[in-house]
Amino acid sequence: MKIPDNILLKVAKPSRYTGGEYNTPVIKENPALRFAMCMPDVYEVAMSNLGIRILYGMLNERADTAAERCFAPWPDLGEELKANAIPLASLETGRALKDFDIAGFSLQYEMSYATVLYMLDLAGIPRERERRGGGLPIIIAGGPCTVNPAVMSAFVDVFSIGDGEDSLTALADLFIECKAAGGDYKDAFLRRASGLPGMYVPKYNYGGKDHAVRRAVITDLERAYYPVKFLLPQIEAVHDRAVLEIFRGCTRGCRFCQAGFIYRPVRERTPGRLVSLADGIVGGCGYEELSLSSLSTGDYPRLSELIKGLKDVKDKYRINLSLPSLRADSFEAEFTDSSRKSSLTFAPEAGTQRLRDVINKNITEEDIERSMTAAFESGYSSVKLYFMIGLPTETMEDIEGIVDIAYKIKKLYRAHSTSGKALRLHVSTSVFIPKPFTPFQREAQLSERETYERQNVLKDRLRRVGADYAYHDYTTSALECAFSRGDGRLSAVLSKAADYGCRFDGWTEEFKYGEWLRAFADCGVDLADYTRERGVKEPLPWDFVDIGVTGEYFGRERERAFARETTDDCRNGCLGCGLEKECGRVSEAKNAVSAL
Amino acid sequence: MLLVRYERKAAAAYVPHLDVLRAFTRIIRRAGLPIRYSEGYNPHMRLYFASPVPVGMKSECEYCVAESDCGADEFTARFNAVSMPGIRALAAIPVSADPNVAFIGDACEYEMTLAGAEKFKTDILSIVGKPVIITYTAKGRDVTEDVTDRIINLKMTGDTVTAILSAGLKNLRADRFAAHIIKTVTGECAVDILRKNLYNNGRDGLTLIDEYVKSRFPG
Ligand code: SF4
Repeated sequence: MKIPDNILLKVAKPSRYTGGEYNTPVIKENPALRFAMCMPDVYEVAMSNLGIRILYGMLNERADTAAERCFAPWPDLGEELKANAIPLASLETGRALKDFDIAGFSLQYEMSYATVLYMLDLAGIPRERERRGGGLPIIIAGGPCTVNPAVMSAFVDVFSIGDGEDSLTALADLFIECKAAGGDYKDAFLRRASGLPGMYVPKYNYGGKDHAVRRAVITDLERAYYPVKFLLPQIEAVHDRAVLEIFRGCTRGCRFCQAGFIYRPVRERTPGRLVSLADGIVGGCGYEELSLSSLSTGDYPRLSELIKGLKDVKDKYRINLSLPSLRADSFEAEFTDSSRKSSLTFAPEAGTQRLRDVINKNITEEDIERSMTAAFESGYSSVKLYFMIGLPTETMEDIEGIVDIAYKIKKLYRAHSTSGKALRLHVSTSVFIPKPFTPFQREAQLSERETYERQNVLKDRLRRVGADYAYHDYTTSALECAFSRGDGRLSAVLSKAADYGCRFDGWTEEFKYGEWLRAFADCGVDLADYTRERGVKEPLPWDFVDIGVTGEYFGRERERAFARETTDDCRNGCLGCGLEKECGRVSEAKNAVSAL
Repeated sequence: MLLVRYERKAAAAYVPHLDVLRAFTRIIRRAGLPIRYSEGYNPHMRLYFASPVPVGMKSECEYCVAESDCGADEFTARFNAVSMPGIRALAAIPVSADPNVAFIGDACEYEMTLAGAEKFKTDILSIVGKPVIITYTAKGRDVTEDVTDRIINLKMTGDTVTAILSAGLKNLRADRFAAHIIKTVTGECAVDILRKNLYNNGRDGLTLIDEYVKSRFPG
């Protein structure tokens, strides 16, 4: 049911829950498949997610499927729903989540796991998959966290690992076929789904080498579905603008970066396709801003051609073009949008060249100097710098290096600034989190004591340099580390934490570290067991997932890291990471597109 | 220049004013309507809004001035073709200058439907003429206010109370007035409020804003 007005008037931001967005498709009345696109976060975050947009649009374009959205209600509404016995429902038609065929959750970050359980609770759906009977929806999960499905496999029926476009299409086809066959079709569906590319079905894939699940990879992004009719959020979303995904994947090989490995190989859209998408999206939505999405926009090979094309769209609709996520070494004055001198964002990640070599972040001090000089000369007056602390082999010298960079930028600004304003310099550090499917997947996370020590040094020193300093909390980083490298034992911890009221853990004001520690203690599980270093031979909970890049390659990269050897971008020559077959098919698709 | 009268209903009634503002610029961009922009580094569409109804209340008399050379009928037609659910342009009136609706509109007509109110008709209508003191909380503080002279007219058909209340500087919010009726007469009941018309309450009595603007600011 739709949430009644008297309740809407009691909660903050009622527009989160009303639906009625422009461009909402007509929801089919009797579809063969009812799919709930669920995001375990609040409306403004969920409505910013590109993956959800793509899959939601794609499913609704099918003649046989109706997809609706269902997001996590903020705790104020959550309480009201419980008190009034109103089950969690979709935004479009107010259909209860438990009345859908499939509920698909997008797992974007580990700290949203408890919110999945919170949503299932509010929907009146048992958390554990083994306790869910035939009448309830199949729970599936997609998104980057699924590369290690171990923690969530107690709750999720099907994990869709890798690119969703083809996988979800195949899964929808299969579901509809099984449903038409009747009988206990859900079990038949699960059994057969376990054989589809990229699908992990805990009930039928038992893990282990023989049951390895290979990540699904689409090879032709150019002709893959991309939405034009974006639903316009009722209230401002975190990212509230037209977004073009220019390419997927990254080949730079930064050794801490999971995205750099789990989205390989690089697949691009052509400038022609992107410009026509931009025109369609801005014309059909009316956005005032257009931005590009990728892991490293500066690496797009035909960037100037693309920007030239987008300038026409910009002039036609009088909109802003924003170009984020530029790497320091690919910044060119041409990228700056002359109408808005906003802040420049750089992520050197580490303070010294030595440590940047270890993590294979190929930015040199000269790169930073060159781009800063160009930016200051063209009028920028605000700089944001992102670093990580606790990277493997880090010493106090590397921490000092962060301060040195800040100091150098101050000096550069004095010498080259044209804006007349005082420089605003922000430094922010996160705590390094060793992630599965990276060369650093076995490293230890920095201890709590060392984290505070290093943060305190930075606090003190950066204040003296005159830079603002912000840092990520140790506690959330430790939990994120545990859950990203977690195993089946953490399912119980997660469930306990949800019992204790944990949800929205990505929101500082809602995060209850004490309750999490209590949940760990109650389950007899030691958090430190998950932040420690893993031995080279020690089996990892995600070993049975095959994302394409081989364990051997990760081992090699780890050794090179400790020998301070950098690895070149594999666009300049294949390094044999294991995805040769996919890379071959990507080039074939590319050739086919250019032949058209 | 056009004075656009629009309605805000359904889900759009919950959209905060700032977001309605952004929604307008998006509708105009989708419709490809001609509009003037401000100068400077960050040009924005020249749109000026009169005070909106509070979040959650429906309205058929929201106003916005658009610096557009578009014909009035063409403007509403193209606007409505791509408008968001709940927002609809009801009329566009060519004006010579911004009539400042927030200032000239000093009386407002509301339809307040209170479930089951019909049987309290006499009690409700007799509110007029007696002193009316309302209490409410604003920004966490309890406020008591004498609003006797802010109730201009009261009528009733069925469960629906049609009230003309003072707006502008001496504003009486319909939801607060409805809460007063509930507290002093009907007891707890479901309420639905629609802002129906905006007036200028001048020497000649009540004049509908649309008419007032047509005669004072003909464009
Ligand atoms: S197979 Fe070669 S070219 Fe392809 S992603 Fe791996 S290293 Fe790069």
